[in-house]
Amino acid sequence: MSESGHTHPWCDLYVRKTLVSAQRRFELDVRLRSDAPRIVLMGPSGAGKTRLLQAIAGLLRPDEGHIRIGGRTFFDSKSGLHLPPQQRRVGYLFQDYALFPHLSVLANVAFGLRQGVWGRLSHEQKEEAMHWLERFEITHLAQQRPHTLSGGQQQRVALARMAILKPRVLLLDEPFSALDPALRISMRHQIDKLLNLLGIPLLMVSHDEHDRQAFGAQVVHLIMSD
Amino acid sequence: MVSSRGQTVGSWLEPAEVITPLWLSLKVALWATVISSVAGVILGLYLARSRNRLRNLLDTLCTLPMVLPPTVLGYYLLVVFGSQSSVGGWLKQSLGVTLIFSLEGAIVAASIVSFPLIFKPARAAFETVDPRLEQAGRVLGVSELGIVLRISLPLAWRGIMAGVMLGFVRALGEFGATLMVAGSIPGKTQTLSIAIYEAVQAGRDGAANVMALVISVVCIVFLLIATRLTPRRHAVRGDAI
Amino acid sequence: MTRLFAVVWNLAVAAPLALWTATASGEAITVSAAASLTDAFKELAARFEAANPGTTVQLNFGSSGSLLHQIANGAPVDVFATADEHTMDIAHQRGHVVDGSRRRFARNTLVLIQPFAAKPALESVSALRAPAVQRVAIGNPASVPVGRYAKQALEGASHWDALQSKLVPAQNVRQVLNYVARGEVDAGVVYATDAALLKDRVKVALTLPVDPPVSYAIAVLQHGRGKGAAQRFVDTVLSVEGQAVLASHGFEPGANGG
Repeated sequence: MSESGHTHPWCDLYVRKTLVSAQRRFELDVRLRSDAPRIVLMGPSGAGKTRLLQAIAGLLRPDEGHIRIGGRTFFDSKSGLHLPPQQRRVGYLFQDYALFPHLSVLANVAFGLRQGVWGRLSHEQKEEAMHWLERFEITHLAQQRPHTLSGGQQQRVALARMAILKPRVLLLDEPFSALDPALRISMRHQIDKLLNLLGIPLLMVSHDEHDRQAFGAQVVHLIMSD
Repeated sequence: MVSSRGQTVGSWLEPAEVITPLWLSLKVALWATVISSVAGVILGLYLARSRNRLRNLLDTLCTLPMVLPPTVLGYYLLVVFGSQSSVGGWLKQSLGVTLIFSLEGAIVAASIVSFPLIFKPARAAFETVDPRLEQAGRVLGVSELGIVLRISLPLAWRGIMAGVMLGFVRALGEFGATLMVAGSIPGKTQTLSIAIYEAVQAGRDGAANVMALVISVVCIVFLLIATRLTPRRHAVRGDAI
Repeated sequence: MTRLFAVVWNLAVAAPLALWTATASGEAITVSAAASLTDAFKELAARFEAANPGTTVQLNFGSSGSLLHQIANGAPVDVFATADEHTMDIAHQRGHVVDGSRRRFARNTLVLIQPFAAKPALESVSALRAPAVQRVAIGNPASVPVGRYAKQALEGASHWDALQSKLVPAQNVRQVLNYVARGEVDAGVVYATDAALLKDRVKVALTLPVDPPVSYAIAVLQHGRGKGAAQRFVDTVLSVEGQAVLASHGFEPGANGG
C-alpha cells in the first residue's frame, strides 16, 4: 500500500501525547508499524483510540513522535512538521458523523470539492456528488436535511462525503456502535466495497469482535495502565 | 402651573425639521452598524475559539462601551481625537479628517456604543457551533476561511443578526457621546435624538413629540425583527440526531 | 472594612439625615443662574451663607433658555438670574416672576475670541469669512443669550448668512469657551468675563458692539419655597459688596432699573 514500495509499511507511527485536565492526567504512548491493509484498534474506553485517530487526521498535535501514512510524513516532532488536516487527504469518519445540519445531503456530500470561499457548485460537481449518492443508494435523499435521516442513512452520507475526495486511507471511529446488527452487516459490506473500490487501507477503532472477523484485519490492542 | 405646550416658541414643526435629522440618524446608524458588525463578528469569532489567557481581558474591553456612561466615552474620544491630541492632529494633517464636529465623529461614537451589542451575541452564537463540524470541514480539505464562511457563519447567523438589529437601534439613538464629539450642528451632525433634546431646550414640545414618536416607531420595528431572529430553543444544533 | 462601612453609612444614612434636618431647621434656596455667572455667583453664595448661618444656597447653572425651560416645567427655583432681558421677559410673561422683584444687576461685553496659538489674529468680523476660518462657535440662538447676542452682532455687520455653514452651536457660553480653548474651532463669541478665565488658552481678538448692551436680570420667582431668604439673596447681589464681587470677576455695574 505504500507509495515508496514494500520497504516502508503504509502505517508507521509513533505518537506521544500528554493531556492534563482538572480531573486527570492522560498519557498516550503508541508505536505502530504495519503493512496490513486492514487494522482494527481495540481497547477499553478511555485508552486513547479516538485520540490516536485524531492525531493521524491532523486534528490533534502530538507532543512527540512521527506519523507517516502511505509514505507521506504528516507529522515529525524532530523537524517540527505538522501538516494541517486540509493537506492530508485522509478519510475520517466522526463517531456521530458530523454532517452539516444547515445543508442538504447533496451539499454535504459535495462539500469538500473545490469551490470558491462561498461554496458554489459547478454542474460537473453536482453530477459527481449524485454519482456517489447512487453508489450508496441514497439518491432519493439528495435534497433532505441530515436531521430527517436514520442513523444508517446518515452514515452513508458521511461515507459518500468522504469517499468523493479519494482519500488515501480510511479512518473509522466505532462506525457501527449506533446501528442494529442487521444494519451492521450491510454497512460492513458497504465499507469493504468502498475500500476495494478506492484501493486504500483501513484503520478502524472498534469494540466488536465481529469487525475484526469481517475485515480479516490485523488487531492492535491499546491498553490502559495507571 | 403654566403648560408650555400651547406656547411653543417659534413656528410649528415643518416636515424638513424631522426628515433632516432622521436622515442623519439613519446614515450614522447604518455606517456605524456596518463597522461594528464587521469588527464584532471578527472579534466574536476570535474569542469564541481562543484559548488564550488574555481572553477574559479582551472580552471585558469589548464589553466596556456598553457599561461605560456615554459621557465618559465622549470624553475619552475628545481626549484621543481632539485637535490638540497627537492622534487628532495627525488625522487632520495627513488625512484631512477631523472627527470633532463632523459626521465621521458621530459615526465613530455610534460604532463604539453599538459594538458590544453585536460582539456579545456574535461570540455566543459562534460558541454554540459544534467544533466538530469545523473539524469535519478541515478534514474535508476546506480552507480556514472557507470553514468560517461556509460552516461557522451560516450556523451562527441568526444570533449575529439579532445582535446587529440591537446594535443598529442603539446607534440610531446614540446621544451623549455623539453630542460631546460631533456637537449639535443642524443639517450636519444634529441627529434625531439630539434634535429632540434641542427642541425640548427651546421649549418646542410639539416638535419634540413628533420626533420622539418617529424614533420610537423605528426602534420598535427593529426590536421586533431582532426578537424574531433570536435563536429559538430547539434551533438546529450541530450534532446529528 | 470599617472604612467601607463608614463610607456607606455616610452616604446612605448620615448625609440624607443631615440634609433633612438642615432643610427642616434652616432655609434652603435654589438659585438658577446663567452659565457666565458661575464663578461670581459661587463666591456670592458662599458670602451669603456665611452672613446668614442656617441658610443654604443651591446653585444651578446653565444657559438662560434651558433654565427657563426647567422653571416652566415646575422646577422649584427661588431666584432666577439671566444673561439677557429677553429671557426674563418671557419668564415674566408666563407669570413666574414675583411682581416688583426684578432688577438689572450687571452688564458685560461681548468679545470674539480665538485659540491662544491661532494665527493670524482676526482683525475684524469680516475676517471670519476667510477660508482659513473653518469653524466658529456661538451659543445656540434659540436658547442661549450669548448666541442671540452673537447673531445680533453678526447680522449687524451683514455676515450672518455668509457664516451659516461655519457655525457650531453650543449649549451654553462655557461650552463655546471650551471649544475655543481646546482648539476645536477657529473662533468663538463669548462674554469678556468668560474669556478672562482662560487667559492662557484663549485670546480676545476684538470686542463686538451690541445694542442694547448685554444686560443681566435677576428676580424672585413665584414657585420657589424660600421667599424670605430669596429676597435677601437678591438684595445681597444688588448691594455694594455684591456689586464689588461681580466687578472683581469682570462684570460691569448694572444700571439699577426695573
